[in-house]
Amino acid sequence: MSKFKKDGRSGAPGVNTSSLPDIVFMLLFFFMVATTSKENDPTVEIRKTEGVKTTDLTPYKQRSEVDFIYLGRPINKARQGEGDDEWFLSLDNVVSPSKDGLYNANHVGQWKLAKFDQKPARTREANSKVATILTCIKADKEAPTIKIFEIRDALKDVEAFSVAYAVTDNSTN
Amino acid sequence: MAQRDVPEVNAGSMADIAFLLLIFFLVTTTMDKDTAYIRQIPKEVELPPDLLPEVAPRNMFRIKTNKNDELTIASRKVKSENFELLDNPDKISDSLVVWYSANRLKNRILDAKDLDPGGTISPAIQRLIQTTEYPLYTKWSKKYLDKKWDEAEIEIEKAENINDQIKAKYFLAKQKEYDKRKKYVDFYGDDLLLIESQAHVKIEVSSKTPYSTFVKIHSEIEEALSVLRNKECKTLGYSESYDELKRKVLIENPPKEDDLDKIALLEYLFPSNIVEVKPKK
Repeated sequence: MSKFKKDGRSGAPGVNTSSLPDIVFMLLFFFMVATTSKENDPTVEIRKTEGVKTTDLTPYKQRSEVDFIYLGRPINKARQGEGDDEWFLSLDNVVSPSKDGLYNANHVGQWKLAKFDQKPARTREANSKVATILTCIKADKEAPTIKIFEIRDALKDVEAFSVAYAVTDNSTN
Repeated sequence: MAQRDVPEVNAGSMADIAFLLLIFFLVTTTMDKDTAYIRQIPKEVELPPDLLPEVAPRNMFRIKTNKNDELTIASRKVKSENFELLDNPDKISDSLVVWYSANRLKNRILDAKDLDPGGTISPAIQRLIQTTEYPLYTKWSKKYLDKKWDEAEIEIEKAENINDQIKAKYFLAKQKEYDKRKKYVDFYGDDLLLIESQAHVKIEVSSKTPYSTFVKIHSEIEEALSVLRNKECKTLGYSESYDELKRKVLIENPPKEDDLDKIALLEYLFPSNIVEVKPKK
């Protein structure tokens, strides 16, 4: 008698979760394909600007033929300056990094050459010179253009002649 | 002997592992695409002083910012340093399209031969050159390109005789340019219709102009070029527009040779010659 009672009392049957890994793996693969890895966390604040008919940089990123420079006001409140000192650059993998990760245009040349040495051998062979590697400038929408031209001059000195002005695409089609 | 049961692998933690990987990828990657306007920083070139070109006002489309960082374009009605403030900056692209295509009308196209430095220029053409406010278009036949190539060859020899390296280099570059044009004539299937090589868009901003305004100018230029190239696609009878070709080339790997040639031709017919003037401090 007691045997029957036990059977009757058992609760709802457990949910079969054996296909859960499959579902999660599927999600994982989706994100692996649909996203690209982040370059670095910039130390300056960037508010985006919009434009039409832009060029997609994804192929350049896949061939690691693009370096990113960030230009904006420092995120660190203590470092926010006035007037001319208001704007800073954020560069990644600098040979002798500054304490707070903020730089100015004088560092750009050295940084660009160092970045080229760090590139995979395949990229370096395909682009025997630094000249063909893009430099993408991501600037805050209020950043003054004189800063852009300072970066351009620094790049010209190391013979890196290709620049890209980052902008969010808002083309309708 | 009794057969031993193979113990079942416990896959209960598989989901945990997959979640962990998923979260790792979510954190380290980003969804947004990087888009930008790609520009070339001009190299300093040595030019022989007697060959330094003087740029005619008709060959400049000047975009300038005023004191309040509003965009203005050089007025084409008055031939002077007058700049017009646009009530809507989106109209820059429209003016630019007009500037590019005004002299591309059938009755205004010149033959490259007519402008030969050695020859005489007929009064009618002279008048057009002096009065027009837009860059001129010239027709280049393969025969004429061959002739120009031979002329450059003579100049190179002359320069080498007096050991003028700069001049020799200059004419060598010219020869290369003619070779390129010959290739395009083949692909185009007809005489090549080219804008003056000096024609360019000049951007003059002040040192305090915000980046958003600077980018707006580039956006307008790209828009105008896209309009012109798309229109040319229709004229040439291509089944896809320039924008579509560009997108196709980006997705396909490797892209079709024919598509790349089409894009190169369109970009040669409507070149994006942009001069960015460094503002004074």
